[in-house]
Amino acid sequence: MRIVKDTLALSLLALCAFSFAAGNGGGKGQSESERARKLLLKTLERDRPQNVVAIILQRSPDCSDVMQRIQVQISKDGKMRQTVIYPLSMEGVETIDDGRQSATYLPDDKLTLIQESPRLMPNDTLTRMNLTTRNYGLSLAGTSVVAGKTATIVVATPHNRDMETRRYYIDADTGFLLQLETIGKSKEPKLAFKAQVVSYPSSIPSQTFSIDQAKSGKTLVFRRRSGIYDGNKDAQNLGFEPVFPDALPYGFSVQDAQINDNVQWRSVAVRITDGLIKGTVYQWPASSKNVKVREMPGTTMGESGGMKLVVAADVPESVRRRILEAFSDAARRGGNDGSQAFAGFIQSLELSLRQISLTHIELPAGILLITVSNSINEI
Amino acid sequence: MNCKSVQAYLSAYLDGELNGTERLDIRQHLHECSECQAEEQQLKVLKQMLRGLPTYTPSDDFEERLVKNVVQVQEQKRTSRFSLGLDWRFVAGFAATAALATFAMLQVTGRPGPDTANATVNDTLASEIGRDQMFIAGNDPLSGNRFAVPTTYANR
Repeated sequence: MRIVKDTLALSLLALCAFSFAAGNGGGKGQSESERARKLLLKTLERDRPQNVVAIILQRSPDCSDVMQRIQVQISKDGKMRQTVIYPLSMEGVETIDDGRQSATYLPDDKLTLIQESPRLMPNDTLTRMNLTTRNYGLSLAGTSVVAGKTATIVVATPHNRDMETRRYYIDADTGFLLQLETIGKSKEPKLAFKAQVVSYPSSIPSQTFSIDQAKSGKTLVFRRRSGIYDGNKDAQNLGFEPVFPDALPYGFSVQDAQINDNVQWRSVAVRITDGLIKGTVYQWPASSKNVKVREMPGTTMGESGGMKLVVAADVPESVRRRILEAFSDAARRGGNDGSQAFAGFIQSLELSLRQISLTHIELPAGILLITVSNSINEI
Repeated sequence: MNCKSVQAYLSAYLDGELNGTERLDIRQHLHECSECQAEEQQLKVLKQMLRGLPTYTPSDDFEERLVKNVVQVQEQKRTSRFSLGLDWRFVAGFAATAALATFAMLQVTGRPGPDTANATVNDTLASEIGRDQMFIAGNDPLSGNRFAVPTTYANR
C-alpha cells in the first residue's frame, strides 16, 4: 500500500494556478481566450439560470446526412426531456432525465429503457477546461444571430492539425449552446447542432420530468454502472484486466473506467477526453464468443493482445485509429500502465476548495484503487 | 374520458379536428386533471414552435421528378428480376423450398446457422454501445451529440 502525496500536492498546485487565473479574469483586461474559456465553462454548468425549451437540429449519430429534429426541455436544475420529432422513423422516441434516472421510450419497440442519470457522474467541468486550454487555442469570432438569440462565437482551434476546429455559438446571457460546427481538413464548416427555436420560460410543469408516466409495453431497468476503481466485487469478478496506455495521442486523457455488467457483453468502458470531446474505449476479451464485431458508424474497432477494442468518439476516423493504436499497443505488451495513465488524470482532477483526500493503492491483480473524498479519510 | 384517451386525442383537440361532443368531453377532463393540463401546455408550446419554423415550397418540377424516380426504381427492380432469364415465381418457389429444407436439416442437427447467431449478438453490441453513448452524451453539450437517441434496442 502506497500513499501518493506528491500527486495530491500537484493537484492542489494546479487548482491554485487555476483559481488565480480565474480570479484575474473578471476585469476589463480579461484576455480574449479567457473570455472564451469562461463562456465554455458556462455552457457546462449543470444548474442553469433559466429553463430552456427549444427545437434543435442535430447531425445524426450514424454519420448520414440526415439531421434529426428534437424538442428539448431543460429545467433550471438540469432535468431534461427530449422528444424526437424528425425523422419519421424515430418520431416519438423520448428520453426523460429526472436527475436520478433516465428513461428512454422507444415507441416502435414499445420498450422503455431505464438507466442512471448522467447527472450522477462526477462533475468534471474544471478538469475538462484545464485539458481544453492545454489542447486548444481559444478565441472569439464576433457574434451571430441563431434562433433569434444573439450568439457569441467561440472558436476552439486544436494544436494538432488532425483534429477538427470547433465553433461554438453560445448565448452569452444564459450559457445555452445554440450552434456547433466542426471544421476539418476540407475547411468546410459542418453543422453538428443548431437550435431552430429557443425560449426561456419562467416555469415548466414538474410532470414534464416525471418518468413515472405510464407507457405501454416492456420496461428494462439496468443496474447502475460501477467504477472499476471502486474496489467493488464487479471489478474483481470481471474476468479480464482492462488496458490503459502510458499516454494517449492528441492530448486525450483517461477520465474514468466503468463496468458494463451485461451478461452477454461483459466489458469495460474507458472514458477519455481532450477537454472538449469525450470518447469511450470499450474493451472485452476476444475470447468472448457471444460477441462478434461489426463496424458501426462513429466507431473504430480492433483486436490486440487477446482484447477486443472499440473507440467511439466524435472525431475523424484517423484520430480514432490513433487512439485505438495506443490501446492496442498497451494490450499487445500485455501490460497495464494504469498507474501512469491515471497519474495524468489525477493531476488534472477537479478539486473543490474543500479538504480533499486522495490516495491510490495498487492491488495484487494489477488493479488500481483510487479514492478521492471531500474530507480527510483513512484508507 | 380517462387520461389515456384524452392524451391520444389532445393533438386533434388543439388542431380543432374533433366534433362538439368530443371537444366538450376533453375540455371537461382538462378542467379536472392537472397532468393532462400539463400535457396540453407542452403540446401547445410544441405546436407554436413548429408553426414558427420556415416552410419550404417544392420546386415546380418536383412532382415530375418524383414520378420519374419512382418509375425508374420500379423499372430497375423489374429488370433485375428477369435479368437471368428466370421466371421470378420459379425463383421464389425454389428459394422457399431451399429455406424449408435448410430449416428441416437444422432441426435434425440441432444447431443454429452461424449467421443467425451473429445477427443476434451484433445487435446486442450495437444496442449496448448505443445505450452507453446516450448515457455519456447526456450532460455534454460540447462534444457533439448532446441529445443522442437510440433508434432501437435489440437486447430483450
